[in-house]
Order: sequence, then C-alpha cells, then structure tokens
Amino acid sequence: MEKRNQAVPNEDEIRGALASYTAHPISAEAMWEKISEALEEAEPSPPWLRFQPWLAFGSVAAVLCLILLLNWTGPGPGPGPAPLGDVGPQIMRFSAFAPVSASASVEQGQLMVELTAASDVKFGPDPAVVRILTLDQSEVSTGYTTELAGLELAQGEAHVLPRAVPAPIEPGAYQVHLQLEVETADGSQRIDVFAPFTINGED
Amino acid sequence: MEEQELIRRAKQGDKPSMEALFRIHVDSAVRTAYMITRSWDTAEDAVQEAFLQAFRSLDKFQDGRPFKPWFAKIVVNKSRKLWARFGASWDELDPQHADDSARGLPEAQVLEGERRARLIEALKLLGENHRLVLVLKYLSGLTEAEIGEVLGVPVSTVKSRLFVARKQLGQKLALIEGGDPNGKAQSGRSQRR
Repeated sequence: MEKRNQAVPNEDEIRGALASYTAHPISAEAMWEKISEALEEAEPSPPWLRFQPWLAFGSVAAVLCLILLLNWTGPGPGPGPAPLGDVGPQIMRFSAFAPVSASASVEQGQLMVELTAASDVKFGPDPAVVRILTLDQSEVSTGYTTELAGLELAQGEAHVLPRAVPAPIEPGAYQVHLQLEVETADGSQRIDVFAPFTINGED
Repeated sequence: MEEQELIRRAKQGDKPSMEALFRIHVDSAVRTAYMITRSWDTAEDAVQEAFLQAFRSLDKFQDGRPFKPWFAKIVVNKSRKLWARFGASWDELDPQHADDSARGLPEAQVLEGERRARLIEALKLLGENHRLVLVLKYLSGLTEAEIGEVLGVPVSTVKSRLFVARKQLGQKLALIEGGDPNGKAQSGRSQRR
C-alpha cells in the first residue's frame, strides 16, 4: 500500500481525477443565449470601415507621425546628448521600435501585463525581468518570470502575464520595465519594453 | 455534419453552425478554464468571451486545421486574463464536494475517490506551467503537438514539462499521503479525516 502511495500517478489516474474534480453542471443554455445576443448586437461595420487598405495606410501614417514627433528635438542644432539621468524620451523611442509592446493595468490589487507582438517573435529561454519603476526611474520592486521561455507569438497576438510581480500599494504613476530575451535571425538579444500604469488612491 | 463544414458555414455567419460548434466544445472549454480560473463563474465568463472572439475572428482561421487547439489557445489566454484580474484561491472552492459525493458508496470507491482528491490536492501544488500541460493533455485531450500550439512552445518543451509535471505530481502526492504534519501540502480535507 505504501509503495502504491509513493508511485507516480499513471495517465488514467490523472485523467480520472481531473474528470471527477471538474464534474460540475455547466450553464450551456445561458451561455449560448448571451453569446447569441452579443453576436446579434454587433452591428455590421459601415462600408468605409471595411476598406482595410485605407485603414492600414492611415494607421501606418499615424505611427510614422508619432515616431517623428517623439524624435523631434526642435528647430536649429540639437541640444546634444541628454543628461544621463534623463532617460524618459529615450525609453519612448526605444519602445516604439520593439517587436513587442506591453500594456499594464492593476485590477483588484493585482498587476496584469499584456504583451502584444508587433511582428512574429520568439522569446528566448532565459527568465524575463519584470521591474516596477516610478516615473523618475526609482525601482519599486523586481521579479522574474519563466512564463515566456520559448513562447512564440504571431504578429498581433497577445499574451497575458498574470501577477508577474506584486503591484505597488502607494497610489501614483508607475511604469513596468520588462527585460525580455527575443530570438531573431541575428541571434538572441535582450530588449526593454515599458508600460505605464497608475495606482488610484481611495476617494 | 463535419466540423470543417460547420466552420465553413459559421464563417459565412450561419448561426446554427456557430451553435453546433459551441455545443461541441463548450464542455471541455469550461472545465479547462475552471482549472485555470479556479471559479466556475469566471470560467464560464472566460469561455463566453473566448467563443465571441473566436466567432468574430473566424475569417482568420485557416481552413482544414482542427478547431480545438485554435480555440483552446483563446480559452487559455482569456482564462489567464480573468484569473489575473479577479483571482481566486483554490481554498474558495466547494470543500464539501468530495465528502458529499462519497456518501453511500462502497468502500473501494470511497478509497478511490479519496486517492483522486489527494491527487487533485497535489495538482494544485504544481506551478502553473506544469499544471496547465497536465490539464491540456488529460482534461482537454489535446496532443503534445496541439499543446505546443496552444502554449506557443516547441513539442520538446511540452514533453519536458509533462515529464517534470508527472514526476512532481508523484512527489507532492507522496508528501500528502505521507501526512507530513508540517507540510503545506496537508489539505483541509485530509486533516478532517
């Protein structure tokens, strides 16, 4: 009996345990009703919205304008290299070219980071570093996640990193700094991605 | 009607075909989502959102490919997102479930039920990545290649995670069945016995 207890469970045992544990009535009818209603509520797009090449062109133009604005240093000769501590605008420029973008939000006290691939991307095997910084770059906390190791995302695909690091308690504006390892045709490289978020105080 | 035919019709907006696809996959999807969200309500919400997203993006679905892994990927992402937002610890689940269902059963079945309950307690102690591969293989019934597609990792990684997960499951189970009084693995259900 003792020997059996110590044994690695076989496939049938695992299958049986999961089936038994999840034996629970499912509200399929109510679910379908809601899905059906939501599908009916979704109005068809107006014809001009269906003209996707026009939309794509507009989006590309908007992104180019944004990049130009972020890189514009004003008329006349530029002010030279920014002081070492003043890294805010550089972060913005770097993030604009990253193959992955991130958005961060705090829901019920939990920090949630959503990564979206700007192009097809594969993450390397090393753990990703997740830092929480204040807007003046002071470090609040740091964590690591192996969640992304080997993960591949197609262009436009999103991946949620749940609870990568505890959310700050103090209200204020913060940013998540992700150091990610990505594999490209030139080998593996580390990239930095930033996403701002806010902790609201109680009213 | 074949699933590919249902998908072809659903792509054209045919509601009965969408409903047929829903009924084929809803059960497995909700149970999988539950093992991620740890709450039946959240699991149903996640699957509802997943079906809506799937039906709205069916035009991106490649003809001839199996629907299940493509849809499972959406379910897993939605479930993780909702779990991150709302959370739920395993302890919030119905602790009476196993005790109630065991009443009036022969001893052998009760023992088997207890072994299953301990196995689930052990499963809960695994890391998310390892628990998820076991859930996708043994609950969702996906192949290793399909699990790789869902998680965006190579098949070799899936095999390695499954190997480690089963090994760790055995270790956690031994810890629980050993009744280590200081072990975190001692569940509330085991303590009552």
